[in-house]
Amino acid sequence: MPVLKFFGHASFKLSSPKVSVLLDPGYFEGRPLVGENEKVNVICVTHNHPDHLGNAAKIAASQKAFVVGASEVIEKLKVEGAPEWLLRPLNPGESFVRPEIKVTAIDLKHGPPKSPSPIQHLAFLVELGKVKLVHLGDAGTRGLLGQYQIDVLLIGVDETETFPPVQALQAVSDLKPKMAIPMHVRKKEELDYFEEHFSLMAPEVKYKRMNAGEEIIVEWAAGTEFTFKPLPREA
Amino acid sequence: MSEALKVVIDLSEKVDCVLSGDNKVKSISAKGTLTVKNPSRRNKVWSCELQLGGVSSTSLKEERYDVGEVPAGGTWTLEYNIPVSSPLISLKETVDTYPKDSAINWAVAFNRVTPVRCIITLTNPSDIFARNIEVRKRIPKGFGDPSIEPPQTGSAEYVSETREVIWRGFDLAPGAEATLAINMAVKPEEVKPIGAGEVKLTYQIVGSTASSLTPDLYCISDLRFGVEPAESLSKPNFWDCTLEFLNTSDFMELLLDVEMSLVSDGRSPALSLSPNVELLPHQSWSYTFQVESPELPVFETKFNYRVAYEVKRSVYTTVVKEETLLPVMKVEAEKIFAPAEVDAYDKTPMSVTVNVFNVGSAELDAVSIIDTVPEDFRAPTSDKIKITLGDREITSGVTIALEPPSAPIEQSKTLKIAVAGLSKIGGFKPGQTMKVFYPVVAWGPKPKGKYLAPLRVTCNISPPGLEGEFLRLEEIPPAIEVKYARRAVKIFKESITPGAEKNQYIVPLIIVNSGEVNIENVTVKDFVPPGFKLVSWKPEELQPKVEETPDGLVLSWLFVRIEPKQEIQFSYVIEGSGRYVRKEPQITIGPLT
Repeated sequence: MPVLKFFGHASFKLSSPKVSVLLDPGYFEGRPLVGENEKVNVICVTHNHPDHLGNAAKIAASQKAFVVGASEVIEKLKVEGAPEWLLRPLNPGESFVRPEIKVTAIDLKHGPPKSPSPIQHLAFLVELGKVKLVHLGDAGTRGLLGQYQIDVLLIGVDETETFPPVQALQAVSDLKPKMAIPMHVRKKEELDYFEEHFSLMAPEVKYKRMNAGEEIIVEWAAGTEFTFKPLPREA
Repeated sequence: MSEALKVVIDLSEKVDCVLSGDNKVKSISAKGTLTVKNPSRRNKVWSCELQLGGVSSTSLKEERYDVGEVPAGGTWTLEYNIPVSSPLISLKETVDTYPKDSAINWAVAFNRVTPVRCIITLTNPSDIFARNIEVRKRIPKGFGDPSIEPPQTGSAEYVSETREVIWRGFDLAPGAEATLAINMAVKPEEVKPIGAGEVKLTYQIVGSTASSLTPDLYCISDLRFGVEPAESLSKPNFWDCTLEFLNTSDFMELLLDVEMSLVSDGRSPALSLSPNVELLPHQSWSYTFQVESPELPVFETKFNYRVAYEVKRSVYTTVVKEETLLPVMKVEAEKIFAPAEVDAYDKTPMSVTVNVFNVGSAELDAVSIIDTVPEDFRAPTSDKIKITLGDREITSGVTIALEPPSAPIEQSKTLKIAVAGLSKIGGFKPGQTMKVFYPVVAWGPKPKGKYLAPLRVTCNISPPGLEGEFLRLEEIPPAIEVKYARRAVKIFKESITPGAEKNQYIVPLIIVNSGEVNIENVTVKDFVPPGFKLVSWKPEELQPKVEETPDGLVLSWLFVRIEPKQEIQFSYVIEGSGRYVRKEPQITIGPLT
């Protein structure tokens, strides 16, 4: 059963008993969201902003985890001391494949830019078992996302860097994932607006707001219905 | 014989009471005047002493008053106050603005003709008759001419000159009750509370007082007294004496005690009597007795008498009930769309805020909003509708219904939001604003300029009566503006170029959203002549759907959404031999899903 864990901001981990993928282990409010001892096999970094790249180099070195990302990300990780043999640059459309797992890079532009110079930005489609999860990073466009079947969509709701709430809602409504989880939230009113309109814009899509540290099981129940439920706490 | 007069002790008391509009005692005062009246035209009374019992029921401090002399026809007065808490007769007026039901409704609806029924009830819970009862009810101008239901007791009439209903001509026996019903109607044109007219009750109590004073008056008047001693005809040194009293006044006099002693014999007692007789005017009383004395006996006489008196008691009461104020129900509303304008053909989340303002003077218990979600707009589910009153979110007493319940988006819907029971949480007070917030989604609106979304608001009090209405947004409905955005899409099929392998050809396609609005469910179809097969495509995610036909292959791609100015380049590789007959691709735009 795949388990999705939220660390805060835009950091998630999708894992099965055998393999785990960490997505955007960034810094938030000056501190790393993910500890260096977090067990992972693959790290996906959508772009090289600190709130997404974070301490990926250290985690990679500590866990001997592969890191995938655009060439800008890979170069920056080299500078930060990540072992080169673990770095896997990906071009849009390319995939990184390991047993049980496939990560495909999707070309999506960053949202409203912080700086005038454009940066490389990728979204990732992670296929773990039967579950297909897309992490949009700071994407502000949708490109050819509509061509993918998505089970879990991790979508930014932040008009300063990713999708404003209205466009995030339109994206969910159009893409029709099985479930959507907001991330990269900086303003409560933006999240409130997103939640208020979610069921009207995408009535067939399940919605989940995750709290930092929360873990849920995401799976195809009996192969026909996509469900999520809290991960039972160990006694 | 002329009629015997009595000195009169007149206890006249007056009670003045003001009741508030809701029939509670607002102020009450009672004062009394004790008057000693000498009714005689001829005789004065003197040595008058007034003794009062029960002074604690009044403001009086002394029990004894030296009245002195009261000349013929004269008076002596003493004034006092009486602490009372309620009038003897209970006056109650109920003003009902919705006579159709049994509850008493207390507000009127702005600009609506509202029936008003006043019932005046008089109750005598005491064991004393109330006499000369008169009730006057003022009918304010705005209430028109009243209709009076004939009372079971007394008679009632409307005097149009003074705009008064006068009910009189009856007494109220102990334990009895009398009612009068008056029907009126009013159409409020201002929001300040409307007075329903005051009620004035007057009545008289005879033989009783509000105070418990028990007066006793001692006084005397003219009286002739004499003793006639005459020697005994048979016994020497014995004298037959005749004692005689003659009431020479107009009063009834009471001869109480007589004591006589013989002065010549060292004041030895000669007679002691208590005749206790009433002497009418000019009536005499005599008594004969014998004393032994060698000389003409000389007597010293003491006697006690007084003038008779009577006590008269009465109370005159006035009760004024202030007019009942009828608050006016009035609400106004505004409806705000955010954004106020949406793009045609697109899906746009929107927020709707309905602000309901209590601009009347009544504290409201219920508000009902009948709203419209136009066609091409998706209505909210009930859990998304948020209602606040001031800072407080209203969650109980809310009823929400969408009609028809499962209407398709293409159909206009009525959203009914009813909030009741606000009185339990402090009420919807004048000056307050109730905010109703809910999301909607513009779902591919047509470029027809605007969508109208009329709204009607009603309000009521508790218990509910004729409801207040706000109709302006029904008559001039709020509108959601639709921005016309031009749709345009271009498809290019570039020149066919040789592929990497022999007999392979690359077919590049470019689709551009050159319009001003997102387009959705865009299907592109391209045609491959017979003799060729599909080998590959780029990018990988744009795998075409392939359909084999007698005329060759039909390749199709579905683009869920293409944003304005977005350009998608893709290509496919075919392999085969023969002549490639170029056919232009087709493009269609589907409905929103």
